[in-house]
Amino acid sequence: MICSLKKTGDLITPTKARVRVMKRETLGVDVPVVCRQCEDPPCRDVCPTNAIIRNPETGAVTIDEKRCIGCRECMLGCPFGTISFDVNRGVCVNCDLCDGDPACAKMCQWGVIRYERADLADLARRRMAMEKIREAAGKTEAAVKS
Amino acid sequence: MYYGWAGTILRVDLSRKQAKKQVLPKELVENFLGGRGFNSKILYDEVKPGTDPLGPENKLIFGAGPCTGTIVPCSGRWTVTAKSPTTDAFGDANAGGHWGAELKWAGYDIIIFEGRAEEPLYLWIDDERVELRDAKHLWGLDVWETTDALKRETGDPNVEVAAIGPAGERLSYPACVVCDYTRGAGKCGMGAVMGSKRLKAIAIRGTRGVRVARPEELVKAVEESINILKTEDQWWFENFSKYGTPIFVMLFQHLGALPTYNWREGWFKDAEDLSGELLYNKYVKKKRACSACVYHCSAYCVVDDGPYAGTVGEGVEYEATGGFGSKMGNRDLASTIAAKTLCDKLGIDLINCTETIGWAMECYEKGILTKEDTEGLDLSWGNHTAILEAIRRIGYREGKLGELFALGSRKAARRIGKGAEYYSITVKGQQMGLVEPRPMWAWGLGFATSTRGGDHLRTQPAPEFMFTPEEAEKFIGTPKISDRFGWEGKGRLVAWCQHIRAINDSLENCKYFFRGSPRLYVEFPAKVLTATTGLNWTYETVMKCGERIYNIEKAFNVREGLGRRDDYLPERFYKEPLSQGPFKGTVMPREKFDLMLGEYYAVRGWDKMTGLQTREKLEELGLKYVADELEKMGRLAKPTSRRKGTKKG
Repeated sequence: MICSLKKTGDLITPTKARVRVMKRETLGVDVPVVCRQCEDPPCRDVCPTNAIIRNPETGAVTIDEKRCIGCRECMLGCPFGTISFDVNRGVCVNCDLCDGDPACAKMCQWGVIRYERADLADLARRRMAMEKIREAAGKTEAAVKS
Repeated sequence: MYYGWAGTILRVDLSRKQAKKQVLPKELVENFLGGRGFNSKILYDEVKPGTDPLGPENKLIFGAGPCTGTIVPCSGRWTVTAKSPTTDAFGDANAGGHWGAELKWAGYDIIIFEGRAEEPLYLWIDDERVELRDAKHLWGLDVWETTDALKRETGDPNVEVAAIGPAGERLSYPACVVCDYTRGAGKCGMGAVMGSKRLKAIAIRGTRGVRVARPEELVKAVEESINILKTEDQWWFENFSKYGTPIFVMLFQHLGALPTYNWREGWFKDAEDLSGELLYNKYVKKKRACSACVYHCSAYCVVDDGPYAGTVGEGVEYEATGGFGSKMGNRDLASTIAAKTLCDKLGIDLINCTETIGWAMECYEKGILTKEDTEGLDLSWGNHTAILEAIRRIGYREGKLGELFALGSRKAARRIGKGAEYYSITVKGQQMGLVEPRPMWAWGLGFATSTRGGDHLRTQPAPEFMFTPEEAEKFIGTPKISDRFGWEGKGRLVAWCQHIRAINDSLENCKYFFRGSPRLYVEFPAKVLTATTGLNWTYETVMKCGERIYNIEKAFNVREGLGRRDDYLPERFYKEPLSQGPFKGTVMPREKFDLMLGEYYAVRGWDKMTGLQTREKLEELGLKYVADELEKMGRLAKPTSRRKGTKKG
C-alpha cells in the first residue's frame, strides 16, 4: 500500500501497487508477486517501442513511460505476471526499486522485504542452507545414538 | 470530496431489490468519525424502539473507518451494527481481515441493508457497479464453500467475501458474519440478523482506492507510531506478534483471571497444555495478518497427528483456546483448533458459543440439564467430542439441543428455568469475553457498563497497568487507577477507556495496536486522522466524538428500556469467591461495585442513581434531539441540583 501511495502521490489502492501479495487463506499461503528484475527480461524483448530499459544505477528493469504506448505486450511477456496496467495514465507500470530506495522495504517491520546486493543475499542463503543441513544432521545423529 | 472517507453510503433495500448511493453527510463525518460511530448514529436514527431484531424493520449496517484501506497501522477492521437478537438492544460486532479495506477501495464507507429479501440474495460490489444477485444455490453452504463459490462465480480469486453460514441462515443467535474465511464479526448475533434478511454474502472487488490528504505527514506519523511501538515495549511487540492472543492463557493464569469451569474458577490446573507457546511450537505453520497490520498476530494452524489430524484453521485466538479449553475444563489443544474451524465454517461466534456450551456443561453437572435434554450428549467437563457435536447442532439448529442452544445461554436458561440463569454468564444478555472480573475490577465495571452487553473490548482498561501515576493523573484525572482491587478512580478510568475504544472502533483501528504504549492512546488517533482526512483534529475533539458515540449507543439502550439494573455483572461474581489460584477467596463485593458504578455515572454526567442520561450532557455533545426524544418517553434523568455540581467539576 505504501507503494501505491508513493507512486500515485495520494491514492492507496491495490491496483496501483507494484508489489502485491496473493493470498490463499485455506492453504495458509501468501505469495509476494513482484518484478524479479530478470537478467534477460522477456518483457524487454517483446516491447515494440523499446520502452523497457535497465536502469544503469540500480539495475532495475524499468519502463520508460514516455515511450510506452500501453500495448500491454510486456504483461503477456512476463512469466511472473508482475507488470500491471495503469488505466488512468494508459501506461504499463513495474517495480523500479524506487531508484534504489524502496519504500516497501522501509515500511516492512519484520525484514521480510529487504533491499540488498543480490550476490550477498545469495551468500546469506547458502549460510542458511548450511545451518539447516547441520541441524538435520544433528537430529539424525541424535536419533542414531538413541 | 473527502480524503480518507470514501464519501458514499450504499443503501440497499432488500425487499425491493434496489440499491442506491447517498453522499456521506458532513455532519456525520465531523461528529462520528467513521465505522462504529457512523453505524451507531444511523441505527439510533433509523431503528425505532421495540423493533423486532429479526424482523424486516431492523437494519443491518456495515461500516469501515476513515483509515481503513490506508497505511495506518492495524486499520483493516470493520463493524457491523444492528439491533441484537441476543440482547434485544444495541448490537454491533467488529472483525479484521481484508474485507473492510476492499469496501473502502470500492468507494463506500457504509452499507445499510433494509427490509427482507423474498429469496436468498447476495450483494456483488464491483467498484461503482452494485448488483443484488440470486443466492439460492449458496443457501445451505458453509462459509468456506460460499467464499470459494463466490470467488469462482465472480471470476476473481482476489474478491473479498463476508458471508454467513448455516447458523446465520437458521437464525441461531450465536451466528456471526465471517470474512476472509476465518474472521468473524461475532458479538450480538449479527449473523442471525443477516440471515433474517435472507442475505447470504457480500462480495467486493475494490480498485478505486482511498485518497489521503497529507501523504507525507501520514507516512511520518505512521513511522513514528511504529517506532514508539517497537522501542517502548519491545517485549510486547515481539511476543504478541509471535504468539498472538493465545499468549493470554498463561498471562491471565498468573493473574488468576483465566475463566475456568464456566467462570467458577480463575485458574486452570492444566493451563500449560493450552498455552500460546505450545500452540505456536506445535501447530502454527505460518503467521498471517489483517490489512496494514504491523503485528501479524494471526496464525495458520495445522494439526498433524491425533484424532484431529488434518484440521486446518486460522485465527485460533485466546477466545478459542481458553473458551473451548479452560472454560470447559478441556485440556486438549488440538480439539480447540478443530472447534474454532468448525465455528468458522458454520458461521458461529466463539464467545457466544463457548459461553453457551460452558453454561450447559455446568447445568449438566448440576443436573439441571439431563441426558434426556441433551439427547444423549454427554456434556461432562472436558469432553471435547461432545463440544464439537454441540457446535454442529447449534450451527444446524438440529434437534431439541440445537434449538435450545441456538438461543444463546441467557435466553436458553430462561426457557428451561430451574435456576439455570444463575450459571449463564451474561451482561444484558450478551456473553462475556474471557476475562475474570473478580481479581480485575476495572474490567468488571467495563463489562457491566458496555453498550453492547458483556464485552471486554468496549472498555479494555489496559491503561490500568500501563500508565504511570503521572500519566494517569494527566489524562484520566486520577492517579489511583493501578490498584486492581481499589474502587476509587475506576469509574473515571472505565469512562476514559470507553471513549478511547469508541475512537479506535470508529477509526477501525485494532485495539492491540495501542497496547504498545500510553503515548499511542493519546497522540495517535488525532494525528493520523488529521493526516488522512485533512481536517484538523485534536485530542479533545476526537475524545468528544468518542463520548458522543458512547452516549448515542447508551441512548439506544435506554430507549429500549434498559437502565441501571442492566449495568450489573452476573450474580456469581458478587457471591462466589474463587477457590483456587493466586487470588483464592476473592469476590467482587457488591457494595464496592455500586461505588464504582456511581462514580462512573457521575464522571459521565449521567444520573448517579438511575444511570439515565441528562439533558445537560446530551446537549453538550450536540445530541439535543436525543434528549428531546428520551424526555418524551420519560427516559431522561430528572434535573436535580446535585448533578449541576458534577457537571461543573
